Amino acid sequence: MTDLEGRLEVSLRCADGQVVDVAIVNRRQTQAGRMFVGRRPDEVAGMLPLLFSLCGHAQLVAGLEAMEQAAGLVPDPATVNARRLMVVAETVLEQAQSVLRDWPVLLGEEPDMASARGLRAALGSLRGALYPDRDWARLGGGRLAPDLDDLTRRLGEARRLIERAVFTGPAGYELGDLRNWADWVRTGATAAARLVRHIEEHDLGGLGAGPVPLLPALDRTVLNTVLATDDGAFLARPVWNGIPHLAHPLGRRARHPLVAALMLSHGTGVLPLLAARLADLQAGLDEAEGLVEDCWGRGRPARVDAGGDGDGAAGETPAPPAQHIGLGLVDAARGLLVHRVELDGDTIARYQILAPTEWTFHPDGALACGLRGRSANVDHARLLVAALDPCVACTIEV
Amino acid sequence: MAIPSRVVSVDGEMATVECFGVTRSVSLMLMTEEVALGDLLIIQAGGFAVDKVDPQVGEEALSYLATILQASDPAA
Repeated sequence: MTDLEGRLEVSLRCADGQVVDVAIVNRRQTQAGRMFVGRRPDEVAGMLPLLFSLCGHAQLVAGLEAMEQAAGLVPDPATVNARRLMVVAETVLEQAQSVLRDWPVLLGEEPDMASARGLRAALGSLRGALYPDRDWARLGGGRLAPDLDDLTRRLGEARRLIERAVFTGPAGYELGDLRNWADWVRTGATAAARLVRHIEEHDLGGLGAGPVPLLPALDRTVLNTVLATDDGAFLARPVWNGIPHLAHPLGRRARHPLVAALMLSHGTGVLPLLAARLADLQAGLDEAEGLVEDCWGRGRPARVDAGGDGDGAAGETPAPPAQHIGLGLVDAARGLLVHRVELDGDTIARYQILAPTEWTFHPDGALACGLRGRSANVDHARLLVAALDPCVACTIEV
Repeated sequence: MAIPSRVVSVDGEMATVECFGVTRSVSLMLMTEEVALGDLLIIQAGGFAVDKVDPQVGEEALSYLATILQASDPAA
C-alpha cells in the first residue's frame, strides 16, 4: 500500500482492563486538493471519480458544484436531479457493500461477495443509463438522456438483491415498524440480522456512545470563511463551534422512527449507528426509485429535495457565491463531503476537500471518546470502527 | 484516494498489482469484468479491485498522484 491511499492507525492504551487513552494517527491525504492547483476545472472534473473511487460520484458532484459556482455556471434542475440520483445510488451501493462484505467478518463469517458483486453490477455503472455520451463530468451538465427501462431494471435488481441478502425478503423490509424490526432481529437469516442480534445479546448497543454531537447543517458563509483562512489544520482535524462532531448517516436518519427509538436507549452507540445505515440503505433505494419515477417516469415536475429524516448536514440552500470562489456540499454515504475551489482566471488557484472521516476520526472525536473508559476489548473497538465506517483501512493495536 | 494499479499476475480471484514501485495482492471478487495482465485497476480500502481504467486516463491519474508524492518527499 502506498501512503497515497491513506489509513487510520488506532492505538489503545489500557490499564486494569480498561481503555485509558486512544491515539488516532490519520495518514490520509487531507491536502490532496493541492494536486489540482494550476489545472483547468474541466480537467479536474474528469479526474475526480477516478482519483476518489470510494464515493467517486459524491466527490464528482461536490467538485462540480464548487467549480460551477466559482465559474458562475448554474446547472438545470434535470442535471441536479441526475446528479442526485448518482449520489443516492452510490450511497445504496456503499452501505450495502459494507453490510455484505464487512459485517459478516465481525461475526467470523465469510463475506457475501456474490451479492456485493451483483449489486455493483446493477448500480456501479448506473450513470451510463443517464448519460449515453459518458459526459456526466462536464461542467454545467452533460447530455442527459435517461434510459428509463435500464434505470428501472438496475434499481429493481438492486432491490431484489438487498431484500434477499440484507433484509431476508419483503416481510423484513419495513424498518420503521419497531415490532417488525424486533422480529427481524430475532429470526432474520442474514449476517446483518445476526450481527444486530449478537449486539443485543451481548448488551453492546450503547458501545461507543459519547458526548460528541452529530454534525449539524453547516452555515455556508461561516464554513467558507473557515476554509479560506485554513492553513491545513481544519482539513486534518475539523471542529465546529470549537468541538469535534460525528459525521455519519445517523445525522440524516436521526428522525427515522427506528433510529430515533434506538437513540433514546443507546445514544450514538453502535446499534443506532448500524440501524441508521440500514435505514439509509432502505431510504436511499426508495429515493432513487422515486427520483426516476418523478423526474423521468411520467413527466412530472422534477424533485430536487435532498431528503433525509434528520438534520441533514448538506440540506441548506446554497448562498450566492463570492466571485471566483465555489463551495460544494454533498451528503455522501458516510456523511458531509465538502469541496471548495478558488479560481484564478481559467485555472484553479486553490482546491480543498473536507471528508466525513476527518470529523469522526478526529483525535478527540467520536471513536476516541467512544472507547475511552470502556473495557479493553479489541473486538469491541473493531465493531465501533465498522459502525463508524471510515473511508480507508483502519488498524487497531493495544 | 484510489491509485490505479497495474496487474502483474492473476491467480483465480486474486491478482498481484503494482503502483509506484509497490506490489501487493488484491481481491478480484468485486470485479464485474475480466481482468488481464497489464490492466490498470482501481483498488478500494480492504484490497478489493473494483474497476478497470482506460490506460490513457489511468496514466493521467497517476501523473496527478505523482505530484502529491513529490510534494510529500523531503528529498524532492
